Amino acid sequence: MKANKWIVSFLFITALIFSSCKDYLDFPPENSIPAEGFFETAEHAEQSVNSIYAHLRSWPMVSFAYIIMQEITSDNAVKGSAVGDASFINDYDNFTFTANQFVLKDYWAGRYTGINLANQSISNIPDITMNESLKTRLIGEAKFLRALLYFDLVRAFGDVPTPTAVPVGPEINFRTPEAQVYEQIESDLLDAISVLPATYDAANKGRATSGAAKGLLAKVYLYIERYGDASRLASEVVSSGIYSLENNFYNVFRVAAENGPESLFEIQAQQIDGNWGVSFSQHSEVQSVRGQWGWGFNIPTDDLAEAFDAAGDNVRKAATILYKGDVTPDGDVIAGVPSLDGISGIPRYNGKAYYPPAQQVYGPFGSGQNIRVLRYAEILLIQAEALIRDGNASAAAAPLNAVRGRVQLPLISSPSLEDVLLERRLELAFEGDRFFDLVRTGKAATVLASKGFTSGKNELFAVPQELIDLSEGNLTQNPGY
Amino acid sequence: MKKIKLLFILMFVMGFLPLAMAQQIKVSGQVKSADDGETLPGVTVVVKGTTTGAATDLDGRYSLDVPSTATLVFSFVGMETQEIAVQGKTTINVALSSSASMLDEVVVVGYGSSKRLDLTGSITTVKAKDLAYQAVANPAQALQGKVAGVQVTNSGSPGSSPVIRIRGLGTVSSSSSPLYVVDGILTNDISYLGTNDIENITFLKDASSSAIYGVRAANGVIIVTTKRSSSREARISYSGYTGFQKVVNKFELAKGTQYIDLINEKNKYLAEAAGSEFTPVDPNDYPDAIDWYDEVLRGKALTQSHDVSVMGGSAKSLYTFGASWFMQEGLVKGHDYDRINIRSSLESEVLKNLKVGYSANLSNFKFKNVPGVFYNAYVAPPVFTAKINDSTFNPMGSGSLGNFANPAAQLYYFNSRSNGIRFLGSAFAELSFLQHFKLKTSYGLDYGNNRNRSYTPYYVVSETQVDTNRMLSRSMGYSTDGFWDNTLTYENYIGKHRFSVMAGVSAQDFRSLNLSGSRSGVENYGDHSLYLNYGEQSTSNSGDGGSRITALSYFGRGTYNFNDRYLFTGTLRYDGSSVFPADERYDLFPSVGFGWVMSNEDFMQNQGIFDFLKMRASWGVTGNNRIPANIYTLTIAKGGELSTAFGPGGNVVIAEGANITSAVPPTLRWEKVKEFDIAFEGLAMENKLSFELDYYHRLTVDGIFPTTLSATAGTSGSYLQNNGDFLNSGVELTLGWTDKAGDLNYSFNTNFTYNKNEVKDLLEGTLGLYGGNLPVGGFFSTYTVIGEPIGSYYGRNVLGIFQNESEIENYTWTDPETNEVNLVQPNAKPGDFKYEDVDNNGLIDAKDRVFLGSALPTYLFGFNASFEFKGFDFGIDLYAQGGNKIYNAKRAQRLGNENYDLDFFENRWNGEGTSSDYPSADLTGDNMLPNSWYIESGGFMRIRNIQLGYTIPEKAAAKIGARSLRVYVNTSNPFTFFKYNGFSPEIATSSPTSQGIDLNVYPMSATYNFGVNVNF
Repeated sequence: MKANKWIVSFLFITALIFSSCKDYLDFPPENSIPAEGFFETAEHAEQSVNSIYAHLRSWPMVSFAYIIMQEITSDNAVKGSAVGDASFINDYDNFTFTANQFVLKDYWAGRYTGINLANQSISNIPDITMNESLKTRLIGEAKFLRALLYFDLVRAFGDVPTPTAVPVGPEINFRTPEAQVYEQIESDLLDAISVLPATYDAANKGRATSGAAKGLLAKVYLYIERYGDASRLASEVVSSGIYSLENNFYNVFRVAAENGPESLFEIQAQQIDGNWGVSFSQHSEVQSVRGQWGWGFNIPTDDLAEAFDAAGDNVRKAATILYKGDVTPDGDVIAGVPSLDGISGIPRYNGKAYYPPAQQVYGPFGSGQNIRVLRYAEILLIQAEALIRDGNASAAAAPLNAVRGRVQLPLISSPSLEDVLLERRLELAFEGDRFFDLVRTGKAATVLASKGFTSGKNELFAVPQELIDLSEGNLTQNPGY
Repeated sequence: MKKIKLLFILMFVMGFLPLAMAQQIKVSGQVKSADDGETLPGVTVVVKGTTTGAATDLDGRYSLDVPSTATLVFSFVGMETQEIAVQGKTTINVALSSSASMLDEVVVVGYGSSKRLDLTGSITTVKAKDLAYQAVANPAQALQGKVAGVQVTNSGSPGSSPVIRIRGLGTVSSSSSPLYVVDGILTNDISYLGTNDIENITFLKDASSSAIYGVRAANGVIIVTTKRSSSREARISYSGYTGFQKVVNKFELAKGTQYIDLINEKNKYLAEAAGSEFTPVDPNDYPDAIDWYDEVLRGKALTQSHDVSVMGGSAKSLYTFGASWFMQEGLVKGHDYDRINIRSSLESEVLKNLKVGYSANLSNFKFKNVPGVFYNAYVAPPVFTAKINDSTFNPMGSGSLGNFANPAAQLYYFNSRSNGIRFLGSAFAELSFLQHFKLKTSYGLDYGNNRNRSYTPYYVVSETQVDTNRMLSRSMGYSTDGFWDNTLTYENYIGKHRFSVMAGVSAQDFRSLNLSGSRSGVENYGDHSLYLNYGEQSTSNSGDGGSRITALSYFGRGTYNFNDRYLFTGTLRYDGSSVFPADERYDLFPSVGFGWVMSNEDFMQNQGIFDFLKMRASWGVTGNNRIPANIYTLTIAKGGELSTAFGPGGNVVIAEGANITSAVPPTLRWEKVKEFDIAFEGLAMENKLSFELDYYHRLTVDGIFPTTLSATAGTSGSYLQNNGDFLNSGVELTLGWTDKAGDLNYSFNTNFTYNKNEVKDLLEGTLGLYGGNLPVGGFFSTYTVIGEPIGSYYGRNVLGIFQNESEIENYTWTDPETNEVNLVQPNAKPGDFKYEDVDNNGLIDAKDRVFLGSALPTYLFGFNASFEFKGFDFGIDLYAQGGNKIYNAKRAQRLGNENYDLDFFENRWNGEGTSSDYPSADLTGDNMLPNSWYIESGGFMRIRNIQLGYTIPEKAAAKIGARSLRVYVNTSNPFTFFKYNGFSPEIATSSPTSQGIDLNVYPMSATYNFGVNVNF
């Protein structure tokens, strides 16, 4: 039968085709770089560490969660912007936020996202065959960055889970006691100090240095009241001769001074035309002059202005508080909107987040501005504070006066602790420390009482409720929430 | 290979069965239709009591060697079977009349067709005439209310595909839409088809009918058969309509001073709570009152459709051609859809035993897109005119009331076009041999090509609504999905035993690719100048993406019918898909179905009620492979967000970054549906009453959905895993009544569905799935957990509104240990929600959330009545659904001074005693948390269509050269009745965990159209 021939040949061809595709379903996932091939070269090691730096400029790290939890909670700042705009921020100004408030999770998740990136590097780079000194340095950088992130977490939440390797296990659902978190931070920073270079070539300026690690550890020691260690490390930074103060306080916060002599560590941010991802950071935009360049959140209080006035500190006041009608040294007139939420006087903005519009190239407004994390002026103040607390008040005058001298303030020959703490407020306003400083020095209960601060509760923020739920209750809540 | 061998052996053995030899004469003749005299190809002619037989050719001719005393049986689907004794005649011509019984109707099933009587599963067919009159962009949109167990939610956006769910929602993360099979080609979307392209649509609802499609069938299967010629006579027909769409049930917002009152109230409460000074907004500064919806909506949106089709045949071939044009304006200004379809099919008997053919449908469509403007139109302060002095766009107070985009400007400056081509075509060859065998091979291709161009012109509306980059983005993508199917079918009967066996193999290869690029600084001199080349080179950006999925399947089906009383169907499919890890790649999908035609039993012969009564029961397993690709492979993230730049101030040398930012599940298995179905169906009262009653139990096992990962892990928020079992169980009832009274023919059809959805089980340690994140605050509004429907709303329970301070002070809780009395809501102020302290711990916290209903309807109802009287016809369709809830999320998204709706204005709390159920205008803080007040009933009842038609008498039609001519007027969705405080209770969200959340819903509209159908 003729048909049979057709069938036989058809079945034969079919069989041939189907038997030839035994790998028909088996191929690498399309359009992806499987992790299996990653962490194999020096380039991969470097890329993974770069990603931690990049993450630092992201929204939860430097935008709302940062200004809300580290500044607006303090006496330096209030919400700002229009009445009713993002009114949830007032829950932080009034300390009425609850564990469900999403900013808490933003803050938490942002820092742990960075910790995962660092843990990926720290766990995986050791197995890469590569130049050993580069390898050690990169691991040191990752440890510095991890310490920085844990420092934020421990200050904000107290006991926090401390995963230090990937893959993570059940440890993420249990809180590590605060003291152990600090031990982890100290150990990371000691490692970083021992392996990181003191400086980099121009192309790598901005990477973590041993000086940055020492400076950060000195600051950490203040929080755990190891003042001798704090002053020792601060002195090492000072005597290294690498750092110096910018002459002009206003210039410290401008692009030209980035990664300059006063800088120990900054979060790198940049504007690269056409590359949105790399240009994306909203630290400046959320705080810039409303109605002109940005959203106008996180604005200085009258209380801060009065503190500047009482100290006769015009230089830092002018650079820190931009009033409507001011003309900046870069020649921009601050116009803005007629009124802002939370203040009755002249509208004003955070001058440290000011970004001359002439420099705007691409991305959100002001996204080219690095975020100052640790500057030499603070090292001097850490040194001064540690010396005083350690009973060596006379030695504290020199570093304190170096800071005061730059802004044309009279020198203080035998400074008190209060002098240094006031200096910290004026020098470092809007740099993310004021609330933590108030808590650390035990002043929060009195200074912030009128805002609604509850002693015994608001020293720490609430652990985000979602995480407690996901941990099936193993993660516990801070007292009072 | 084993399977191929098996096929071969099977075929070989069967081939020898029909060798029956006897004293023979040669009989030949022609078979025609008694109704129209057309010749009938494919009629089965067999010698009664034997397996000897033949089929008629394209001319309806047959020729057979038979014993001279034999009786010939002529049978054809849809026709009454005839028996004629040969009695020595050598020429026997027969005219078959069409069967009155729906039982002889042919129904397409997977890889074949069947008589309705033989079905053992739940299969429903909708004919073209029930769809084509509706002025909709594609046939899927016309299906609402037509079939029991099928929920259709239309989004209202032009050219869009509705969300279709068959027998409830059985999946969370995989696709929940059914599989479409268009002329044998498997596809996920039929929005490219016009309603006039369709012959009929068949729903395979239960697992035993759909299991033949194995891993793609878990959400049910919809088989679409496009129009094709059934006779050789050439026919030309035109169908067209024109009409318009208009917003109905428009929902009013607060305007002008109403709005100013509301925000002043809100800001006063906020200032009081914060202890700060309050300066009210002066209404005199904002004298205008505007409804932003009026600024963005068209008064009337036109729609029209024109379709011409030609069908016919020649001696050995049948052909179909068609072309159509459809256009639809959206209700939003500038939103347009336009589509041209060309279709063609050909079937030819090239050799005596070999039939070849193809069918092809090409669609070329264009969209003018609009941004998601409804949300902005809702929140924008209604105190600004769209333009100032009719010339420049209003900067909306430049931030004086907060940053608001001007919706009219947003629409005006939005310039985005999408174009695409979709081609579905297949070619086949079918070889008949040894009388009972058919070997068919076919290749089908589903090709899609999409192009998008978006341009943002230079504009400065306000400080925040500004774009000076002049960015042009372009993307192009295509996908090909190829199927090669081979089937071998054997059909025969021996005495009272009728049986068939089908075996097949299918291979699928899907690939897609997308390229995109953008540049800034592109000047606009008109559309012809919008090319990337004219942008700044330094801003050039490009990207691409692609995917590949393959599948390999072996399948078979056996059917058996004893004496038209006892029916059996069994199918088996062995499926492999590349979306699963190597060790979990293949799986088996079996099904069985039994039917008992009770009315053919002897004991039923003397009853006068049932003309037909069948009981059927089926069980089967289907799968769902429509999960995101590569989810089990850990991958690397790369790109600008992970890169940085080091160096002195202002340095722009990129230091590339990459890292592992995600996590993957330990393993991944198939998501499967196991379904049991039991039903009665029948005809009664002289075939006037038809009924079908089904009970089904659909259990999804190993359902894939995200495991929420703790943010502490620092990786992506979740990964997909086989986390849960979901159950849909329900009842479907379809009733029909067809009768006539004098010249009046009438019929009523109704269908009712009850479905209960429940999460049955979750992987140990899985907390359930929070979903439905709301844009402001990121609150989860749904929770999917054991014992509740998928995507249930989850939030606080509102007890009432605090009328005054003393109510807040009296809402206390006494600590049982210390006897300390605490305020439950110490931060509350009058006008706030009073929440229930469900866990009685003195605090309102996350543990006080309760289930607040779900967006899944528990019942659906459809009704149709049609009347024909002397050329006039009248029809009306109704649809209703209930038991579902809507999250009125627009009300809850408040960062600042967003607008409110008028209902809220009129009912809000603004002082003691003013409202006991609506809160104050301060919907921020704890008032914004998901709670019972935002959840509203989503039930509605609607008149789907009212249609009046008139068919001009044949004589009159003949004067213009037409065989028939019908004109009609139709209105779709003219009336909808609902209580929901929003634009439309139809919220078409496909994501199962954020269903029914109303954020940017297209307003409801009615369509009025006038149409003509002419046949030449």
